[in-house]
Amino acid sequence: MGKKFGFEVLPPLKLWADAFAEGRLKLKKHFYDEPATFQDSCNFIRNGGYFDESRLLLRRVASDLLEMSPNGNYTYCCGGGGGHALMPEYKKIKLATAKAKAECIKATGAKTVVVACHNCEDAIRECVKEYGLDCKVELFSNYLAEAVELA
Amino acid sequence: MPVDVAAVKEVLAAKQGARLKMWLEICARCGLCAEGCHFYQSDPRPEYAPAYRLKPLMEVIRRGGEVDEELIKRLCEVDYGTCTMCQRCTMYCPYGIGVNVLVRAARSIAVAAGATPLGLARGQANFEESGNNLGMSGPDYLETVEWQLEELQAELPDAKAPMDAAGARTMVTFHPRDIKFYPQNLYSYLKIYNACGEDFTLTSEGWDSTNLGLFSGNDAIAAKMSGAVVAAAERLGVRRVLTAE
Repeated sequence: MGKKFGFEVLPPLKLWADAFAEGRLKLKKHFYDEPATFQDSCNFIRNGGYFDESRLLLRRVASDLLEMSPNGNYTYCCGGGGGHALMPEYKKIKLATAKAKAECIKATGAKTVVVACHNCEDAIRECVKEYGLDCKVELFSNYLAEAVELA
Repeated sequence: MPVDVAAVKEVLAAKQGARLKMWLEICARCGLCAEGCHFYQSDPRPEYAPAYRLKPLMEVIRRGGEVDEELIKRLCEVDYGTCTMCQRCTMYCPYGIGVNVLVRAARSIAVAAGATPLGLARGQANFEESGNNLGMSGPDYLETVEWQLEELQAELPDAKAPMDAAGARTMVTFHPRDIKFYPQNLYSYLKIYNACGEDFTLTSEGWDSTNLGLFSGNDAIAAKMSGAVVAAAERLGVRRVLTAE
């Protein structure tokens, strides 16, 4: 926008990871037993580079974190980016091309897919439903909030 | 519907910077990008290779912006319909071509031609009216915050949800669906920030940090959308802005 700003911008998961690392955010260790996997979002992982932060939090609260292959920067898109959440005219293509992602999720054997983006949330839900995968989808904030240790 | 050729030419001129020209020039159609794309990996059609997404834009340039309805229709199908701008393909491109940037430039042509997809156009209109893409009213937003705070206080009696607290360290923004459809999300955010003792504030203006203008290709609205968040952050003098999840 052609000017310098007096503030920095960060995604929620960066703040959560920092707060956890600093000991301010207490999370119950291995609160979740159920095998879980994580959808690395294009915004926060591929672009933002917060892979390590996401894993720091996930490994704390999930005892059985399973990685998709490929994952991290190389993970397949959820299918909901670029406005696809609001373009029902292309939904058929979106579901057909969610196949690669569905196979990745299925191969992990996870029962929960944690998502850190609202577009991922809807797209992964649709993907799971379309391909008959036996897993639920949880937003990262809700997944963590449940595991917060209150003083 | 007749296409506004003058508007298309104006956007085309504005978009044709050195980077765009270079990328269009150096793409060798080698097809390595195909491996990068989940469209192609799920359904290996040649038109799902990311390099294919450059074609409509190149045709617009070849015609000097003299587009017709048919070309705009094709451009929309390719550049809105078959790309999520996830940038995975860029990692597979030997030249690192930013296909997402080129796709967005193509989308900007569609916007100028009056062909913004309806769902995105509706969200943008909602923003113009209400300041958020779901058209929530200010009072509804404030009431939902109050409601979720009360719920949270049953679990965390000292919980707070400061509104417009100038000088706070961190300003928290949302996707409007956190407020309108999934207030549980709002509960979770408030719980986490209270639990970790974050010096945070919510904002009554500029609280939707989503940006449909980025997706649609509408630069003017994209700037307005991010500008609303910037204005809120500057008004409150915060040091950090948290985006929507």
